[in-house]
Amino acid sequence: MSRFVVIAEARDGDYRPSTYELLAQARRLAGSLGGEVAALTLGDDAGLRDRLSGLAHRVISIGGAGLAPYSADGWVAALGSALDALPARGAAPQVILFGESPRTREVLPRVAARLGAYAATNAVDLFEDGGRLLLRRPVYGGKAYAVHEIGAGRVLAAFRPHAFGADAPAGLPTAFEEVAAPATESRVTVLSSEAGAARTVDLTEANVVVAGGRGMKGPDNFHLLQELADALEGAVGYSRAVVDAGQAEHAQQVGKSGKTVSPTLYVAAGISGAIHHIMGMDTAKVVVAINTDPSAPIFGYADYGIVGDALQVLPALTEEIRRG
Amino acid sequence: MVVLAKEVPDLEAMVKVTADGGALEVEKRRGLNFFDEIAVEAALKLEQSAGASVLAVSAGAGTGIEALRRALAMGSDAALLVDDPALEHADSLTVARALAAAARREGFDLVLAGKQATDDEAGLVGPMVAELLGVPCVTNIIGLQVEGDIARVTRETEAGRETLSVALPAVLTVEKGLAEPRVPAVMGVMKAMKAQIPRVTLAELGAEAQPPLTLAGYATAPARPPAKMLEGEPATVAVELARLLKEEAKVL
Amino acid sequence: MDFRLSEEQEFFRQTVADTVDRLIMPKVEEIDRTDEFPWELWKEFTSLGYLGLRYPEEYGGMDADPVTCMLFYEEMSRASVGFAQSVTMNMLMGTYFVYRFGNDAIKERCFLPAIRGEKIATMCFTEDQSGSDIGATRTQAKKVDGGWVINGTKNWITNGPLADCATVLATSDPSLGAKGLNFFLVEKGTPGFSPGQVLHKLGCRGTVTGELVFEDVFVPDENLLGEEVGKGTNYLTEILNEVRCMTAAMAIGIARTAVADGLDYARKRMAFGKAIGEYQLIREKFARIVTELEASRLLMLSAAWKIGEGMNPRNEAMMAKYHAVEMCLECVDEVTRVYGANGFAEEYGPQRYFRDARFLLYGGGTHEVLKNALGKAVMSGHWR
Repeated sequence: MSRFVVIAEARDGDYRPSTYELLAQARRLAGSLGGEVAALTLGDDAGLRDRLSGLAHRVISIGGAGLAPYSADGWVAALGSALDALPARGAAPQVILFGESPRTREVLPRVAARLGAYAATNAVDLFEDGGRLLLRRPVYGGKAYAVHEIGAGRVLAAFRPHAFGADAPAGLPTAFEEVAAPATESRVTVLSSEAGAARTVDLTEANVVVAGGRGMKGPDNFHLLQELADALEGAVGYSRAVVDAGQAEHAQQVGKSGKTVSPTLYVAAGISGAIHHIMGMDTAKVVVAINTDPSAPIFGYADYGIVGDALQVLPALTEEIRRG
Repeated sequence: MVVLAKEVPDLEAMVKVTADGGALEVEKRRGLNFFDEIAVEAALKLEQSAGASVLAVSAGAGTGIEALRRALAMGSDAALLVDDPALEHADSLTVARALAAAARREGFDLVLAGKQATDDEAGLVGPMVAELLGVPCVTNIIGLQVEGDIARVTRETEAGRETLSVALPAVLTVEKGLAEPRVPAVMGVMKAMKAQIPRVTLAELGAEAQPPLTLAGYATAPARPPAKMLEGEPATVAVELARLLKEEAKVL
Repeated sequence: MDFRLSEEQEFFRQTVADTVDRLIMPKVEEIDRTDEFPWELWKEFTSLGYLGLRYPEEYGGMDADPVTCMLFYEEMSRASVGFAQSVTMNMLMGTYFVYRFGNDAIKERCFLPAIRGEKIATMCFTEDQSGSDIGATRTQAKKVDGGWVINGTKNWITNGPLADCATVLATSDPSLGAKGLNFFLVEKGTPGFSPGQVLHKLGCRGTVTGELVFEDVFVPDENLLGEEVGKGTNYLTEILNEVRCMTAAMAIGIARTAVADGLDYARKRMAFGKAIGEYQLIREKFARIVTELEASRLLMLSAAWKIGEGMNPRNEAMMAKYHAVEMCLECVDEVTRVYGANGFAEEYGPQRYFRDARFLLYGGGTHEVLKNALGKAVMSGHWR
């Protein structure tokens, strides 16, 4: 009997979309391989646990003073002890699924080190093949994929957003449990935090990304990107050329040295498609490219190509989307 | 200060899956990981203000010298390579154990590392090293000031930006924007060319390798079919594109 | 026999390549477009200390062997052969005789600032009526009390119009031809020494090339760069092999960029439903030019290695220069063809490589002169 443990992380009043996606995949795999689906929810996030009803066999809420507000030290200690309390079941695999997020990136490796467990980030698939449980993740910026077999032992794995559909059958009988985290003092203190650079929709988690490059001809035209992104409830990104020119913030850069995005729809406006850029977006499901140069490499990575001026095509497209 | 320096293939290196899918052929152009280079620069800046020394540490099976030479050319005071056959295709935890043991042996007030390596983009080793050393960790920093035993760091969050204070010793992983890596000057290049970089093995450090997760194979990225090109006036192609996205691609 | 670069040389090459990619590559199009000397880049790049590469460490140099120097020249030219020429003028031709024969005061005044990039150095050979035929040099130096008076006009001088320190080839006795030549140091501000017309060139833009005019320019005796009068040609041979190998390395640098661009283009550009690199006629081009490129590189490196071993590879250096530049022209031509009409378009690189490569035909001797000399050497048994 394998076990799938999903770390349910919340943001802005609900669990992240990835939580539901991971739970859905865990249910599918538990269905085909046999096994249990558990969800772990920590600190303030646990207040939302009713939303996980029917989505897992067990929902374990971890409470304690060190968990809210969030601190990496508190979460690492809490997850470490909670996972220790879920011992491995003989040779059956035990996978702890995280959604990619800044918290995951700082917590997952430390918990793995603490438990002596395997760790993988950036994963795009967890699937069954002939009774084997396999994990797929891109390497070398998506130039290839590595497929790992998960056998005995614990694996902590972080999955990119949209790796799985959230629509698996639900309705599991759910047992709610509560455990207390060990008391932990955070060695890191938040001095201040300010809202800013980040937009309403986070670039890496957005379903739709509208990205602009040199062909946008400067910040005066960037509102065209935002307008289309707003119409599609997406986020705006930029190519390295635009960021290097000081026209956009690094937090908004899509590409090898910036953000790696994997949205359902990616619109590249006035981006030639340098390999750096391609490496940050080529796992997008559907790519639309708009460029005046018919031989721009971006068209080689696109599903739909428009040879034309992004400054004219974008507003027309925004209008058409708004029309419905 | 200790900087964790990973040697990675050049970003533009060609990567091919072998015919049997069992291995990758990667073009042999290697260098210091982009983000680790930023960590080196940040360490050198601190060194100037705080009078500390900078030790670059790398772990590999016969690799890592190039990365360390780069760190030396930039101005690091010393370099150390954990060189062990067990580090070939090693698990992140094994690499973290090697680096943590090296840092512990050499002594440190601060460990700096890139937020991730450009080859596997895993971002595991830095925080793992913190956990193994039992010190706090802040990831993805874009600002750093050290005053006495306290580091004040800034990082971007999903909501904006936050400033944190962390007691040293600590591990900090760095994001692009923290510092602009310097281009090495000839004096540094000469020093790096001539440097005899000491090597240690896992056994000498008392670090234990963990067998890596079983590799089932490699696959090439699925090829996208050629793009469907739309032509005409902006308004016309916009209508056609919206229709295709809805009806054919089913993404709207 | 071992054809590998040492680990140190390989690291050096990689570091230079990276430096070139970061500092020079992003500026090459602008330099070509504006045709202005890139002062900011000059300051940024020269502050790294590369100009002293081939000089002893006591002068702040690296004491690098000729092979290592060639790696530097090649990597520089991969980005901009024009900028590389400005740089190498300060590294080799513009400073060598000042270093070799200048007294301490002259070294302090000209050599050290030049290899730090604070002063611009040049060497003046060419005149309107003489180039490869240096024996026909008409710029004349007349012995006077306490020094020399120089009269004449030099042309096609790299860095010339900007130069703070010029090593000037002048004859002390026109009737002696190549046996009457000498080098003199002339510094900016010396009465009668002035820059003339700046040439507008087909390629290698951004490097300032032009005339230098000498009207009754008096220089003191210590500015005669040489121990003996009339030995200029002999002294020249001390660096001529190196200059020729360097020109070959530069040609190889341009060719590498052209080939890399061409391969990239051939992989991505589609025609009749597949990438053009899938077609045999395109592959044949690459097979041929890459073979030529590797042959050039072996010839160049072997000549450079011989220089480092203290041999005098006069013929090999001529061969290396002539072969590499011809190879480069062929490479660039083939790559412009791979690009189709885009090879003719300003927004793509090949047209620039095409223009830049042609400037390498002349320095270190035209190929007509080199082949004549080689033919003569071969006929007279100097080749086995």
